[in-house]
Amino acid sequence: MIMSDSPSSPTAVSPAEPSLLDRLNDFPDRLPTMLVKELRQGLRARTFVAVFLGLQLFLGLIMLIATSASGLNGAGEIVSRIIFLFFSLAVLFVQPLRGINALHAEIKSTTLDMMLLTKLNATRIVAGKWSAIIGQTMLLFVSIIPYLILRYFFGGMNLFAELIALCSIFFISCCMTAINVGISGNASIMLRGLLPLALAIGSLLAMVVVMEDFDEFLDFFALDRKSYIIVFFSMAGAALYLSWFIFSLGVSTIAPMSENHSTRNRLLGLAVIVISVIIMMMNQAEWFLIPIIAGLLAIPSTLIALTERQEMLPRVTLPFTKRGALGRLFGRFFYPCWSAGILYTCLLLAIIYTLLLYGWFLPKTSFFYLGNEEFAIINSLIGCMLFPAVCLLLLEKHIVNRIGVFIVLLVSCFALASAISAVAYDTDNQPALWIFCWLPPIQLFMIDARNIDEKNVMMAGIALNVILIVFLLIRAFMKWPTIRKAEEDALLMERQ
Amino acid sequence: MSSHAIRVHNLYRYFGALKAVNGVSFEIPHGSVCGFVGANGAGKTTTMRILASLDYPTLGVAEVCGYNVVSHPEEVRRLIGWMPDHFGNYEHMTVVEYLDFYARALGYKGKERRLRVQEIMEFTDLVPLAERFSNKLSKGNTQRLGLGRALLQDPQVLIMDEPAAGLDPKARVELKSLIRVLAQEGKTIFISSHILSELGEMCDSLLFINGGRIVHHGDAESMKQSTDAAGGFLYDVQVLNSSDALSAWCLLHPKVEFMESRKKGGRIRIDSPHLDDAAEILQRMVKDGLKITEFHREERNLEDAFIDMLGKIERGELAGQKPPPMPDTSAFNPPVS
Repeated sequence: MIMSDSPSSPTAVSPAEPSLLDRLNDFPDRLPTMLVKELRQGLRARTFVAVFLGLQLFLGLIMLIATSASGLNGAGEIVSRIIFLFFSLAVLFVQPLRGINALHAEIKSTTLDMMLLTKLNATRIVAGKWSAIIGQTMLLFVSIIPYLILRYFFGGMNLFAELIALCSIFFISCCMTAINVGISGNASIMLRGLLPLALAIGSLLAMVVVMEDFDEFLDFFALDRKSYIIVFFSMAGAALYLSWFIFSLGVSTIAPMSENHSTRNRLLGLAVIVISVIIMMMNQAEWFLIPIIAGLLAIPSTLIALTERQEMLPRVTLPFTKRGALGRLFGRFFYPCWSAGILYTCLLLAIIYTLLLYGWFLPKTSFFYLGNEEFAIINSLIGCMLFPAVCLLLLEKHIVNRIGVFIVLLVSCFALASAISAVAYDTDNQPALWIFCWLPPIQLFMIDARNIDEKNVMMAGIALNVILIVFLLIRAFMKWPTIRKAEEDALLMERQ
Repeated sequence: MSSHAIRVHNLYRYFGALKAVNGVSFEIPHGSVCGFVGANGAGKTTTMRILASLDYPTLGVAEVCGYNVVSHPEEVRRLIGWMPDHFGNYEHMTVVEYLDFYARALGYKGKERRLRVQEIMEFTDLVPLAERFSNKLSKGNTQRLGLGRALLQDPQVLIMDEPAAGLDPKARVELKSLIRVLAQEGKTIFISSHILSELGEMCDSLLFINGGRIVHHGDAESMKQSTDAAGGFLYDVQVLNSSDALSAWCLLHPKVEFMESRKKGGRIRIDSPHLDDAAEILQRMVKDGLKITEFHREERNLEDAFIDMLGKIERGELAGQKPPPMPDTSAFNPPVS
């Protein structure tokens, strides 16, 4: 008892028999600390136990029924469908949703501070949360293997396709979990609640559709055509790319200011865009697809870059300043702050506009020719990203959750544009849309409008985007003295 | 090694227009226990969080054992134990697993990890609660668990923000006992609390903060011995007459104020810091027929001293540390020196 006659601090206590602590060997030291913590907690959680037992019970029952009726034709396919349905329900719906509160719970209970004072960093914390859920999903995956072996004896099984399909479902579950864990750090309950729910419902609906065309679904996963293989790997790459960025968003949310996670992500975004463009050009993809795909790939990294905080510690700039003028110039695009994020966005826009203008100036007979309509659509979509960024800077002092507000603004712009366009089309007064052409999504509705020349829409869109970019650049340059001060402090720190 | 365990110089932390910490400077020597006192919102937690490298100063320097918290947070984190005023515990995690998690996170491995957890559990008397879920503990046990976690890496400096808040008297005594042991071990302890009398017993020095500024830094005894806001002292006077007689006598003497009636006499205030004046007043009381059985100066408690100090500040009689002029903070880049 602490009130004993001669209490002494833990530095002086002689170790007692470690019998009490024997069970702390349940997980070896080489496993990541966060994984051990999350597994200890997660395996005791009722959700996992209920899902695990429920899945075993249902599959066991189905196998029993199927075995007793094995004389029926097509029993094997029915069993396959049921295995897929219940496995998908468990790993695409229940398991990813377990990450919905992962980081917010830590933020709310102020346990993050204590973790960050240890050797854990933000990446390890988020990765631990993610890997623990994935570990449990893996347990579910492994637990259905005996049923698959049993199902094999019913005959008519496309083993390769079914295994690839199951692995793909597991992969999608990993991506969805990463997205849910990453977004769970956001302060807005709307954002961290609605996105995972939409993903879960979307995946359920997809599974219902798949069940209706189960044969086609398995045909696809047989991957016996080149086009299937391209689609398969493109979709996997896109899912991986998106989930990585949202996962990184979670890391940035909880990371202390002394950690820089932005530079790596921006470089990744830039590299993926450049490589994708080169691959598409080499494969002679339709030209209008190239800037569209480049633009879509740019969304995650620019969204994060435009919504970062401006405050920056000198030590974050040190790796750049150590490399002299070139390093500082590089930093202007890659520092973890929104003013550098604006320059980074402009860099990506320069790539996209180069592709757009190249296609637009080509003769109409050229394979790579890009028409006014395609140009206007892509230009409008670019404006849709720039407009909320400008609003965010105008409201800067009143905003804490920048990314949340950005997404709300983005969605609101689309909703407003849809409503205005609906009224204009209903009243057959489409030219009135010109009044609202400053709202970028409106331009999408103007392209198909009667009495509106798409070239004019394109020109108006370009003018608007130029204004938005100039505004953003001015605001970015206004923050350069702050960046310069951080760089000077970093050099001072280096000298000390 | 730095001569001070903690050094804070011209520290500012602004949250927009709110000046949470406004030019604070102080030093705490190695091995001492320093109490940090202030009303809610005075800037205690912000200062402590900066020292724990969990927040960043808008301007100024904060060092732990010579390491700047901004430029060398990793070194600072290795040296400190941080116990926040409130912290959540995990669901589905027992006490022993909780400590094991932090031991793993601090880099302990194998047998060393298990022994360290056991040492801490024994020191904080958590062994009987080892298998209890950490989020189901009482407030007192939760604080012991928090202290245990903070001690896992055997820190040189322990920063404790309101560790006694919400504890019952027994748990408070137990916590105080633990802190005393740690102080005897030579650890530097920086502790904030609202229970000033307890701080007075434990601490070598007290820091008073108000409105983000240090208004007093000294030991508890000097505060207790100092005069009240108006330069007087309180005296306990016991008489054989009724307390009304004492009260009536006080009304006739301008330098003496009757403060409150007690069972046999009352509490008076003499508007002078000099003992000669007190002796003269006692003589007059006897001369005027009051049958005095006891007459002694009351030692002020720290709460009184603190409230007096706040009163002086409100009246502008005590300005505290004058913060140096604050440079432009629109370009917020926490400095390195």
